[in-house]
Amino acid sequence: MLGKSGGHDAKALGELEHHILLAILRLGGDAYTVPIVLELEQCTGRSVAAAAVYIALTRLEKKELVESHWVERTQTGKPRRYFKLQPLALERLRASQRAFTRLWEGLEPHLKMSGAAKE
Amino acid sequence: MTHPPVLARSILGRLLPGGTREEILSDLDDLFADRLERVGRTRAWLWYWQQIPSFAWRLSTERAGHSKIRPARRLSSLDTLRQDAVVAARGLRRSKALCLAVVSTLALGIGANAAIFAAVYGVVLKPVHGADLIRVWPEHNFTRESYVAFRDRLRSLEHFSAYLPVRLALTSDGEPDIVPGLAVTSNHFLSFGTSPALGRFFTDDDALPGAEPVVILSHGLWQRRFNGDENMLGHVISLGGFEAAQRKIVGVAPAGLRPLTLRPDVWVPVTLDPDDDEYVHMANLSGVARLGAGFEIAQARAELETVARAIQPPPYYLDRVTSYSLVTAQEDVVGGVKPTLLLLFAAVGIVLLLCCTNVANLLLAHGASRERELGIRAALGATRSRVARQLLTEHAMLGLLGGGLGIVLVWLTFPFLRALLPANVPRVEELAFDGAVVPFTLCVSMVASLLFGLFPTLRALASAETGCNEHVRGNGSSTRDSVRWSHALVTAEVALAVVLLVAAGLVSMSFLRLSRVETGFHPDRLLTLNLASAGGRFAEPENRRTFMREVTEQVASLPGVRGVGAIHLLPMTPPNMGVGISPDGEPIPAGTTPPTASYRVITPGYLSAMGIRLLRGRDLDARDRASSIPVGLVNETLARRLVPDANPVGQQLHYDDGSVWFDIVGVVSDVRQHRFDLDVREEAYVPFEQDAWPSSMYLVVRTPSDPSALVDSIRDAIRSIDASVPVTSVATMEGVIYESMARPRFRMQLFSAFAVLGLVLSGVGIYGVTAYAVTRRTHEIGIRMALGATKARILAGTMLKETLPVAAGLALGAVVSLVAGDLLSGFLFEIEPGDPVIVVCVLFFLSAVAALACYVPARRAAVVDPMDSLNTEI
Repeated sequence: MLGKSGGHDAKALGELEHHILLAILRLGGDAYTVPIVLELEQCTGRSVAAAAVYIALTRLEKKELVESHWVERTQTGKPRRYFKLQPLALERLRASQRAFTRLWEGLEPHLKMSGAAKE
Repeated sequence: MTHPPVLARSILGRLLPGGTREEILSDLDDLFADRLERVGRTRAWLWYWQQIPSFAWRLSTERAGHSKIRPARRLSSLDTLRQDAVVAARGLRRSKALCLAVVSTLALGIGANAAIFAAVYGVVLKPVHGADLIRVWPEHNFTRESYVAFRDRLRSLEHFSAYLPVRLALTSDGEPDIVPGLAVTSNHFLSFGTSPALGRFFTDDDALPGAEPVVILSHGLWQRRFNGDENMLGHVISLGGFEAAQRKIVGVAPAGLRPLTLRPDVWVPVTLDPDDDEYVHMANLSGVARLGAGFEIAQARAELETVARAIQPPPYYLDRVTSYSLVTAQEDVVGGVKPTLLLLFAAVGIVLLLCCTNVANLLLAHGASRERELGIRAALGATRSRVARQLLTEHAMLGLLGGGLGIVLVWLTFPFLRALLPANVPRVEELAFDGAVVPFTLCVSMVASLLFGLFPTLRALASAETGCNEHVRGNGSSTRDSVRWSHALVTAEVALAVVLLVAAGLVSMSFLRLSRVETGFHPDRLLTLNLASAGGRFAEPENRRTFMREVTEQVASLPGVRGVGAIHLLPMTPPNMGVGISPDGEPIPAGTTPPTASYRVITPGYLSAMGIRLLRGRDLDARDRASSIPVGLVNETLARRLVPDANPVGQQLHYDDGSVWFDIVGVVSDVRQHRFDLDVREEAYVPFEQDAWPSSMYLVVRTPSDPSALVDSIRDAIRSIDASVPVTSVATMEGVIYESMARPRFRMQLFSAFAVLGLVLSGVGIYGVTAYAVTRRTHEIGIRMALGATKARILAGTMLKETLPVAAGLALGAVVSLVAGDLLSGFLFEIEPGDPVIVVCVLFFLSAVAALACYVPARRAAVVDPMDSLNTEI
């Protein structure tokens, strides 16, 4: 979609990239852009810019966290591009989950006292 | 609308990189469909439009981030733009009152422009169906014979077919009704490159003499009258009024087929029978064709003239044709209304300039309070271009807000605005709030921002250069500069208002004179209705005569009817029929173009029912039967032509090629058969009994009171004679005349509305500038009063100072009106563009308004307490 990559940090994941990987995982590990956008909106409760999702997916592919492949659609005949999570992405998500769990440990009482937590 | 907006999709298509364009557009279509279901059409539509800046911004940022050479300047321009936008937004939030005044003024001007553009685009600019087709007609139209002669000889025109609009009586399969139709040659549908929705189009066999009469239905009629039943193919319907009375349905046209924007319900084939008199002598066909590849219209016209000379012997009337008209379908349909719409566009453009002038004055006044801020910015190192950019960003934001509000107002009121357009404006029923209005409004908003922002920006740059140390307190050079700029704007504003008011005055006076034109008859309490005696037994002329006699007798006997008659073409309606006349009674020589007279078929009683005066001789009456000597009436204008200083009664009028004639038995007063602004023509009237060819006649009924009260009893009377006859076009004669004046009335109303708007805007503008100038001079006025100046002197001095720019504007406006007045001449009736009475009245009226607008704030200045003003720190 865009030019050759230059200068991206292969290890760091942005918040949107993180959310996209989780959304693809929720959709079975292999999904195309439209359900990814809808899943993000449903889970985050806010509108998601489709353009941002496209660009983020391209970056994720360059980081070898997802791999795209084309699937024929029988109804319209036009193929769709699906993005499949790669093993590296799953490793990153597990690492991220462990890190978040450790960081969140013991913080709930603080959130309840400040009244900031909302279910 | 279940599809995304076409224009937005097209713009996105151009933005997106080629490799992923289709993929992203397809995905956005699905997301649009999802939003359509979840949040409704409007929000889904807005969401789709938002994708344009979203993709544009992110793609450009991504490209900039990936570029090996990162142009620092480009990134900082984006940052700067963002900064300016944030600062501008903060500034507007701080000055809410100013923002509201500016945005609402701009919304008015830009919204009015958007509304007129929507009309211009929908009526004039948007391609008509088959826009590249060419309509072809020689002077006096083609006969069937001349059409056939041309058809086979032309190379520059492809699929050259002929057509004739007809009105046919459909009397089977439902209520009797008149349907609009087209009689066409068999190759007509080839021009459109379409296929029938059902059945077939015409073939050459359908045009042969003795062929089975056939008909093709429009898609709409097929759905409405026959419920879209596919079994209708082969069904025979009663469709009278052109050649045959019964016709077999052989096909259904595709939906939306509107040749030359005509809306026929039926198509019938024109029979080409060389033995038929009509084949040779009835010149009523127009042609339509496509330009051949590589040919221009001028070449096609030249070929028509060349071919015409080569056809020997020349068909009837062809040797008298001196010119051929070829226009594109687009021009043919919209050409007549284009000048009016463009004129309105110019008028609404003036309104926008007035709005921009007022906004500029508001910003100039507001700019005076920002001199300190700008001076500080300059002292801290801001360059002229930086300050200018910030100001332009603010103005652009105001322009976009005004444009956005304007377009919302137009969108909300569009159905109401469309209803204001006269019904006879072509394509008015197709008008919609088109996507093209949005980019147009965007452009107008940007142009308006530049216009209204120019002076305030220049003024602000000048004050920024003087620095914050020279921040003045309301009586220094920068205030004088601001006031000078404002005065210049007032001059421009007043000049524009004069131009607009003079134009409105001329158009209004023109309409007034038009509406007072003597019609030659009494239109009040006159009911008109159309009877179609076509098809079935009415194929026989004697049956048509009997029917009309019975109808007029029956209707005349109804209580409340004072007079009744009939005519085949009603006055003040577009259709016309004319014949060539031979004033000297000799056969018209070949190769000459004879004078023509309008030709009308009437029944006895028509003249008295209409209130047309009989000047000499007698009216047509029951003595004038088919078996008696042909007789007729002429109007005064034709009588003067025939025998300038004598009585034509008893003489003969020769017409057609000079071989047909009637005895003139009477002379009647002139009647406006056509539009009010056209000169009275020579007219001849013949009795229906002697020329019973019209298959439809307009009944005119004179009543002592409200004509509409008799409609039901008249319908019942006609139904009692023949229930199969459609009775349509029921209207009062006053209503017919009212409709005929629709376009000039529309022009008058719209110009008046613009003039009132212009007057209010200029009045408000003058008041605002005067009030601002007085406020800035409060200190000076206090000093003058302390030194002994009287209130009267202060008032006079202020008035004089503030009315000088107004006087300059009045003079400038008067000159421009006189110079540019010729542009209006095509729209005026019996009034010159530079009519001095109108110009003088406008100047006086505007002077009075301006004087009042100056007086109110000037009087406030005169009652200022000198001590208060001396203590005032501005």
